[in-house]
Amino acid sequence: MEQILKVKAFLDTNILLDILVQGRNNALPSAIILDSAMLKKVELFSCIQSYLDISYILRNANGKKNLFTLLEWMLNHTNVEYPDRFDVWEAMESGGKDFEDEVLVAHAKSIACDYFTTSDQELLQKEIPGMHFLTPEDFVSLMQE
Amino acid sequence: MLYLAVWIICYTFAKNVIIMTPQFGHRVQTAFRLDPVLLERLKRQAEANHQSLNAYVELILIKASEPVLPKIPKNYQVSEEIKDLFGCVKLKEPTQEELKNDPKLDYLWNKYLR
Repeated sequence: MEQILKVKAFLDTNILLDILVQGRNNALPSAIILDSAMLKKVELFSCIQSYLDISYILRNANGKKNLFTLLEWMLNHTNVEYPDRFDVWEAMESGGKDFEDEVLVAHAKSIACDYFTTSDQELLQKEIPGMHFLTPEDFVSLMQE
Repeated sequence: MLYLAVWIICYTFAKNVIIMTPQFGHRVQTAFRLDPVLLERLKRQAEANHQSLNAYVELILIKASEPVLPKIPKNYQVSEEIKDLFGCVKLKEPTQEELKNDPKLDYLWNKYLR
């Protein structure tokens, strides 16, 4: 039976940094995940807050031009989202240690993502019904099985 | 006879209250409007598969809606478009003093790059 729905995967900030910054451990799997959006069977989501954080980190490294190239690509091929008030409420109620991460998770949940890709060890321990938390490497392994 | 009646009442109560309640049975009562021809076809196919209509339709819906990742080869080559973005920023680790003077950078650096 043909599958009707596209897989939805949310990209954490560290995945975007993996792609941009030289010498990161998960660089290749993260790039493959981004490329999977071109296969038209995976719908990728990221949050605008991630790009704001990255722009701050890269502001002294002449990285703005490269960040804008990535952002332009993401805007053209993926969904760049912003959390709403309900995501913020849910993040507050979750009681999680890192509020920023909780907002991203709440937003990923609200848009019914099947996967949340991250290399954050604390997020990888999370359990939410219907959403799997995976490292970029594990996500790519699933596609290669 | 009385014992049998009591047993039936207890069984019915348990079935309705415990088993059929969504939080125990993990099923929610719902309704769909279907084409009668389609419904008949589903009934026939469910019977042929020795399943109830409910179980058969649920199985079809699970199969149709489950997320299936696209398959890629082990030696998958990243497209040129992505290669252009790949590792294009050389990032120098800030000094302790720089991090001390910039708490926001300190927070972000520790969160994402340590």
